[in-house]
Amino acid sequence: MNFINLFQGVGTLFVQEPNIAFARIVLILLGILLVYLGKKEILEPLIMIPMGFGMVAVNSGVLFLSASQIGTIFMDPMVTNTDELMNILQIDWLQPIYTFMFSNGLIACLVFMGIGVISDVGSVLKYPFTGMLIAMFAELGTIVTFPIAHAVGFTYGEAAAISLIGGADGPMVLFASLALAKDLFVPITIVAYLYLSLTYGGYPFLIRLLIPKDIRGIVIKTAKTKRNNITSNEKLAFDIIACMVLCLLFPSASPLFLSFFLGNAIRESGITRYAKLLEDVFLYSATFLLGLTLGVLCEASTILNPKILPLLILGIVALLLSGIGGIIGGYVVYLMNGRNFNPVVGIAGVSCVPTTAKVAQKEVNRVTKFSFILEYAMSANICGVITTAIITGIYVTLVPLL
Amino acid sequence: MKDISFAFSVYLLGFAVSAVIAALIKLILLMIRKFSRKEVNS
Repeated sequence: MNFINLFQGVGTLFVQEPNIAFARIVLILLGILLVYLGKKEILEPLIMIPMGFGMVAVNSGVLFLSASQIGTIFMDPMVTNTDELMNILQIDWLQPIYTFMFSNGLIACLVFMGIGVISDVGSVLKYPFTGMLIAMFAELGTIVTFPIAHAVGFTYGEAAAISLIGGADGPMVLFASLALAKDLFVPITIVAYLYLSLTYGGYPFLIRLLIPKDIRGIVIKTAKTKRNNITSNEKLAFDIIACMVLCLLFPSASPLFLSFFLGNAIRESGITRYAKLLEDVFLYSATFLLGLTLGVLCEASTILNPKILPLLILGIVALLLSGIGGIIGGYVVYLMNGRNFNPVVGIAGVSCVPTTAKVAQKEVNRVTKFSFILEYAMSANICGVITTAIITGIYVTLVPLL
Repeated sequence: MKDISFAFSVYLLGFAVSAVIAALIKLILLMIRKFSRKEVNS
């Protein structure tokens, strides 16, 4: 028995094409880096730690499946033949998760149920027009990136899925790319999740660049009335009616709408056992499996795809434009309200719940300790989830007709 | 040009639906508050 057959993970590096072998080594190192950055909380640890481990393991654990075939026993995302799939389901240990949870969008819906449970729609009900206006401005990236992506050679479906990275909503990008860009959904989703962490690090600089310090320190004056208190009945009524209306308008995105509003309805109904189940079990187990599955999907062939580089650039462009759009929206509300509004709230229109809302409050607190914009920011933030779901619904419905 | 007009129409449609949702929220609140006040009065 020779060395190559004994330690196949190492041995396959010597028999594969040099570019594949090199990409495997790069991905192993990248996986280690993701775990490190996750531990340091520079990137989102809930996703990055399982994803980093997945990347390391899938690129290390390559073996000889037969005399002529090299691969892994993790999963095969490209299998389409039913008989072949039945065989692979019994061998590749993550294949059941991929086939029954990932490729049909179930995992995105479970994450969305969890987001519904942790979201308080009270602020949306207090300031619906302000929130929706800002959130629609913050969709600038999801709109402008579409023609750019198509112009650089992506198909309409791929362009739509890529532009949704600007919505900064991971499950939504996963859902849309599965529906519109099946061949490219792995790199699109990976880039989307990697970039979500950049909102935390990059948006504060964008805010400081576009909003002068004196405006960042504005304290919003609100008239306190009893009518401002939103009851759980009112929130529940909103959940069921908004769910119905959005499902009627965009049936193709109805699983996402149902998941979000059901999660929120459970929170508002006071069913604490279900709320705990959705938050503690569904949300975290789905996030964990999502991170792990994404990591395992990062095989060397993925990074060697020539579409990766433009995808990386377009992802940044989409997020940057959305951030700028959100701030423009903040300025519009600032001018409409007779300068009694803090435009920093605009960044929260980018629907990365609750990161961008936290970023907005943190940036305001750097200037003054007496300005509390979190309620407005959460309104824009949750409206951002709704508007991104609306844009996703429109893309998923209209793009196949193009 | 076709791409740009498509993207623009997606945006307009999104804006219109968002405005409808916002108006719906106001309507829901108005109706719930009206009915609950009636209940208290009766």
